[in-house]
Amino acid sequence: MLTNADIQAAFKTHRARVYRWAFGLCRRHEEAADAVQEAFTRMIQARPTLRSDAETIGWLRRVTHRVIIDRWRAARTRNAHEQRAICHHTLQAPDAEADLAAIRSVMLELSPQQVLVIIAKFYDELTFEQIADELGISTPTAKTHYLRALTAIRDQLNSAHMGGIQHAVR
Amino acid sequence: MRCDDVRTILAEFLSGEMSTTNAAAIHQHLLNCAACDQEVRGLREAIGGVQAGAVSSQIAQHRASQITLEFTGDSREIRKPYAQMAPLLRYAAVVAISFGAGYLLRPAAVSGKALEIESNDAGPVIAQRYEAANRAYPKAAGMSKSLLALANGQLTRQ
Repeated sequence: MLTNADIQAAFKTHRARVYRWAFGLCRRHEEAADAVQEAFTRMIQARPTLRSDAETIGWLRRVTHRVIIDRWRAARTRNAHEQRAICHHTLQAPDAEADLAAIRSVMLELSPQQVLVIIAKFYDELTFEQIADELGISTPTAKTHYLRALTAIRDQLNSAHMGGIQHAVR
Repeated sequence: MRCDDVRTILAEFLSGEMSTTNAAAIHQHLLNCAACDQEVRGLREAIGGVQAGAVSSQIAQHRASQITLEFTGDSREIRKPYAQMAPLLRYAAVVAISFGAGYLLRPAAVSGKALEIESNDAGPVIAQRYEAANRAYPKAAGMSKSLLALANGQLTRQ
């Protein structure tokens, strides 16, 4: 079980890495910073037994993803009206904002393992073998998750662009 | 190279984890196959969308250094207030179960007559022991004398 000193050390060592994952998903500094704090707060609460650095990173990656998804879902449930306003705004916003909204939306639909593969691949730059090893899956499965996630993101981006075009036409 | 072959190794191709020979073969195929070319373009666009969120290590380090973590006590203890009392509670549970089992399995539970006989036999013995305790410790409290009577009939005063 981790002590306060262990968690403090893990926080100092890994907070930048966790921030990268969180920022990659949120793209907003405040939201990413909050996610980092919440991920480590969950570590304080759960006190997991983590024997190595790799286990700590794997645990943090899973929890960070869960924290962000929980926040998005809570926000969506809490204020559906605001979300509609955001979607409306997104359609009129520049492409980058539309892409971000599309990626957020698809991240909520992907399986946790698919998102973890994406985070590990793009924000940690791990190889498929390393990802498979960390997630306890086979390398072909890691590649399948990667391709399916990318396909889903591509489809969402396409439909977002189509929506933007349709909105502009109207 | 056929379309199926390309799809099999598409993940490695897109992530750059591929030998230059295989990559060249795929490039060659893409030049001749519009469907695969379209597929790869779309996936590259998705990769671009995901990579747009990547920040460099230095920037992440700088921004993360501003984040602090507050330890507001040991929340594990808050979540499980009885955690420290667990061994004591376990011991108490064992004792309670033992007493309960003893009570249910006592001879009286099997036959009411047994209790009657036992109490008839034991009553005078306990009373004699109490008298002995009273003689040995005349100034002791009644409870102490009762306990002595129950504990042992052999009373010796030092």
